[in-house]
Amino acid sequence: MFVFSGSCCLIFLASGQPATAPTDGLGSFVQKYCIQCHQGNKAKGSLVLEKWDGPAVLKARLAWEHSVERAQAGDMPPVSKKIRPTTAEVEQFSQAVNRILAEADRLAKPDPGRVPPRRLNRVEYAATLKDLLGIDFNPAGDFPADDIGHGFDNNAETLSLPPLLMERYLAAAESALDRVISLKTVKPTLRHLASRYLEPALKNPGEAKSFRELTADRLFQTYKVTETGEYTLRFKVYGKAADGQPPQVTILVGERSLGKFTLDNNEKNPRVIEAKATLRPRELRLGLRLENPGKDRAAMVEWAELEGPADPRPQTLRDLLAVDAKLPAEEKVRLVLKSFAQRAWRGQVDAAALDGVIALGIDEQKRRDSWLAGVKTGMLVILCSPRFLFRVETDNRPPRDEPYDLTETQLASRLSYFLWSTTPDTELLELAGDGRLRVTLDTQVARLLKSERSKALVENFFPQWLQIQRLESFHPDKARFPTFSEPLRLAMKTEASKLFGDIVANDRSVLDIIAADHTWLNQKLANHYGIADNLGNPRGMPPRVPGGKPIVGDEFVRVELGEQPRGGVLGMAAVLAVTSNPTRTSPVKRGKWVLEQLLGTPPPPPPPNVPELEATPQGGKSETLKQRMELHRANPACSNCHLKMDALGFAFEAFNALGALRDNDEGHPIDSAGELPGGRKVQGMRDVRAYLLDNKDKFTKTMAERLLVYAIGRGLTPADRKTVDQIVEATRKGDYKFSAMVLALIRSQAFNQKRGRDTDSGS
Amino acid sequence: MSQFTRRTALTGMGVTVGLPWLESLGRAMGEAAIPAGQPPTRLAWLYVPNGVHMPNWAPKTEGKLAELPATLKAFEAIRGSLTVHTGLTADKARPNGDGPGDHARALSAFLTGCQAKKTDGTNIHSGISVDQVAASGMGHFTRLPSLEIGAEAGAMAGNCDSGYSCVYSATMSWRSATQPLPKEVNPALIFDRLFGVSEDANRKDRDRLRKSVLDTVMKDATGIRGKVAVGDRRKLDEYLDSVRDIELRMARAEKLPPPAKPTIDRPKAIPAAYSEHLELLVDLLVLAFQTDSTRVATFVLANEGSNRSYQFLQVPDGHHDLSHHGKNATKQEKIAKINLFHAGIFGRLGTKLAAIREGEGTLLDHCLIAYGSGNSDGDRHNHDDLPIAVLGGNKLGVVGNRHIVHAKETPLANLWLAMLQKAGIQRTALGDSTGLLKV
Repeated sequence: MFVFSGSCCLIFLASGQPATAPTDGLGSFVQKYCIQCHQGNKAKGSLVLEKWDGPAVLKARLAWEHSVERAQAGDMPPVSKKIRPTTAEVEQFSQAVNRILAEADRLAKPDPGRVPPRRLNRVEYAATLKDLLGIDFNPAGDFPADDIGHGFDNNAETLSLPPLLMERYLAAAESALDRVISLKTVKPTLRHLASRYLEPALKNPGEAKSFRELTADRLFQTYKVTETGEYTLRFKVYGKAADGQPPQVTILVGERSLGKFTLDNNEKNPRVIEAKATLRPRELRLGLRLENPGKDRAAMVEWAELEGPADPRPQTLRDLLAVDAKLPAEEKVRLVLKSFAQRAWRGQVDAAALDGVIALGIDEQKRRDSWLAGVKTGMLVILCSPRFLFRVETDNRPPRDEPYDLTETQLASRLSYFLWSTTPDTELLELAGDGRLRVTLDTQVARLLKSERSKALVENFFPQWLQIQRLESFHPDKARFPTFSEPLRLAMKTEASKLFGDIVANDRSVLDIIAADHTWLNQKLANHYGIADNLGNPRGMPPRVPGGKPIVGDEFVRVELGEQPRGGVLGMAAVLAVTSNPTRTSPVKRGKWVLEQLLGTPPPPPPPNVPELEATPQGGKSETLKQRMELHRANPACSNCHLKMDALGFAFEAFNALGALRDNDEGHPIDSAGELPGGRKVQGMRDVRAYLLDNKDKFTKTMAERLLVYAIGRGLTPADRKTVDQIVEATRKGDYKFSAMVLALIRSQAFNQKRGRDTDSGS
Repeated sequence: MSQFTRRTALTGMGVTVGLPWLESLGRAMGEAAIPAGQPPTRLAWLYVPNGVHMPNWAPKTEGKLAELPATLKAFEAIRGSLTVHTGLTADKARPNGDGPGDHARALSAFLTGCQAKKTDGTNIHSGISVDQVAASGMGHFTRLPSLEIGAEAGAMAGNCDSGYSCVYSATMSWRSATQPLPKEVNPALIFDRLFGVSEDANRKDRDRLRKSVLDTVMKDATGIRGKVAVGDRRKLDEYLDSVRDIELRMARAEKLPPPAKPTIDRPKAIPAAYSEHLELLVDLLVLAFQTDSTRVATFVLANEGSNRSYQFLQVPDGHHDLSHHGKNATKQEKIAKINLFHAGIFGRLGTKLAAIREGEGTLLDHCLIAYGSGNSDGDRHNHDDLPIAVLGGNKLGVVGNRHIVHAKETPLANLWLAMLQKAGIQRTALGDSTGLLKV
């Protein structure tokens, strides 16, 4: 996959090109191989390559990028032509074209790009609604899958809104509001307990009379409060006086007295005594104590009741609907909807739009004679408005010609959806409202990353970038891989999440992704890897490092890998599986994965008519997979790209299609040796890791590109190259810490600004 | 519905807005004309990915079918309703200068006859698909204008085929050139769409409220639309278009009889077994047609380029990997197994429809259901001589049990125009069509 839309260059461009872009290798190549078909009115494919000076190339940029792609793929000039360019010639041609483009990009006017209104995707919608209403169910479960654009499911262009989804939005908002706002008054829970069941426990409660005698100390029940709120305690009682003194009782919570009562009534007129208290979540003794015990004096108790909390609605909702009860209904509707719109529309409330909401709310309030009905209707409008469903970045400032800063409120939204996949919290919105978000940006980004909610970034960005998401549809051949199970699939996924989570929450080096010396395993995965304990000692062998704790159960523990050929994503079963076929490993897919996802230099797609490799060789010939690959590579149409791909891919051959270690491949010895173009030898996963570390800025650049695409929700353009370079530079200076990359990205023009008027009309 | 009545409908709800013209709403193609008293014509399209093993598909002789080729044996019982078409071409599935990406293009060109714009996400563009043309002509007769279903949701990560966004290889129906329609994969949700969630005493009240809510947001959206850059309006147009669609459907539903009582229980979830999933989808499609809940449907059995393995057929390999068979007989055999399985699903649909009496024939006699792939041989990725079959239409003047060989390079879209015509929709062009075929 190419991150830069419209450009398909394989050649990696180092920064700091010479000021003039020489065109050697370009003209000669075009004249020798292209011009014959691509000139004049009858040019093949309407592609004219008659002029190849700088301006001409830039003018037809896409056509030239395309030509480079086709030349590199080996399908231009057509295979039928006898005179074929050499690899070096193609390389020269490609570099010459790319130099012209790179130079132009360097001098190009800065452009933050255009991000169309971004619809919330399924994940964002669910998280946002949960935050707004405090509900705990997923209203987005029924939504159609979000399409992927530029590798991610949060791409503004590809997130479309078909009627089916609008229908679901309406239904989801209705059902969410139905759950939280009940128009009938909700009665608080009432717990009624006959006195015979109060403590201290009776030996035979079945035989007890309906009124129980309290002659000393107390009767009580133990109760676990789960919701904070106001509760009422009641007892039905009468008194048996002695010495002219009626019994005196106290209602107690723990040892705290809520009220004293003198029971001067008798069995003919028992009465209910009650007291109120605010209780917080914990286990409590709720009781009735006799204050003046004495011979024949008793309090007679029929039952006890606990009612509460008085307002059973969850806290979020109570806050949402908090309004002075004495206000007129209309005013309540107005106030509640105004503050809800502020939250739901992420600080961007348009007065006219709000008026529309309130007008309908008040209408409904009058029709149903219920201010809650009005509020509910208004909220439904707010949740179905494009201001909620999309992130629209409009504001009232006059448009300018030059790129200009997003408002702080818009920035708050971008930040929050980038790092949390949900709506900005009140702290962000308040800072933005006061115009203090930009000056406190570093602190805020650190806070957001540390928060539990940054799990969203861990679960949404990394697995999509590294294709671990594909694990969901991975179905290995059961006959060949009987050990595969759903718990193993889950464990593979979790291992990856643990690493990414550590990098995000604890601000580790992004290089951990390729070179961590530790991982997280549960028993299932440790068995799969053949690892015995948390010091990475192999199973079934005497430990090399003493003192390891065995890995048992479902819990994931951190494991130091020592000599194990794992660590980082390269040794993860999740990655090794998604780059395999259902029946066998695929060195090609693995090599391609490294080139594409980690180094950002994907090989072009294969030319047509190339057969896949056999699962098992035909005709009884016993060749290893590698020998068969070499045959395949003898085909000149394939060899170019395969040299690199195969060398990197074969290095992983010691891992089977499930990522477990193996010592043979269906009877053949494992051969994980290869040679990269240029002569560098690669054998085994550790050599790939070393190769990646030698190219760590390429890796960092790839990650920065992907993170940028994810953060701003659009494909990158040549104008973004400078931004990416700046992020890489800042990451390097920041010791490759994840926060350094994130902060540089957030401070970049692409994240921070929007396009001015003139560039806008030009696209 | 003409432009005038549509606008009137909206005005009636209290909204008058300048409507941006959208192809899907430009319903000027004319309504379906069905003679009174006759059962309506239903149209459906089913898609299978990665081409088929053609030697097991194409009948050897033209005209009346003799012994059915191995894959078509699934239709033995209903061969009188079967027409096999060979020689048709989806030219817009070819690179035409765009390089690799035959899978993405095969599905996106199948019903549109249009060349997909090669993009990983920015400016998705194909063309309106034939089912949506049909829906705009006859969708207003039923509660759902059309139904889009499939057994695989969109892809989960990455681009799907050589620089083409996954939208292309996962989407069969296009409401307009820029609006792909996602398919519903969950049988329970399809059931709900067809028959409503439950008896709802408050439905009237809810619909009244919905109308006011939609009116309000529509006004607001129209306002926002004026404030964003021209290039950004497309997203808000999608929104407006969808809101309007719901409003129209609600207005229509008031005039239509209530949803029919379904003869099956609401499915619980997506069945774990692929075959059961497909069967359930077939059953729902039959119900949808039988109850006249919709008259137009598309059904993607698996996304184009799907690498699903068919272990229950003793084919553990990935379908796409296999389709690059390099003429290896073992692989071709396995592909033929997958083809036979898929054809069986299509056969099940035909057989079920044929068992339902309707008018003076069967329900199948009033359906035209096309089945096929936008790839012919999955190894060569060729898009000519496609495997296409049509079931049904015996009461619509279609003579079944036949093999029709079309001239080389005859656009597939010509067949779609013919199907539209049988449904009473006169349309002279679709994508790269050059005329009308005989069916």
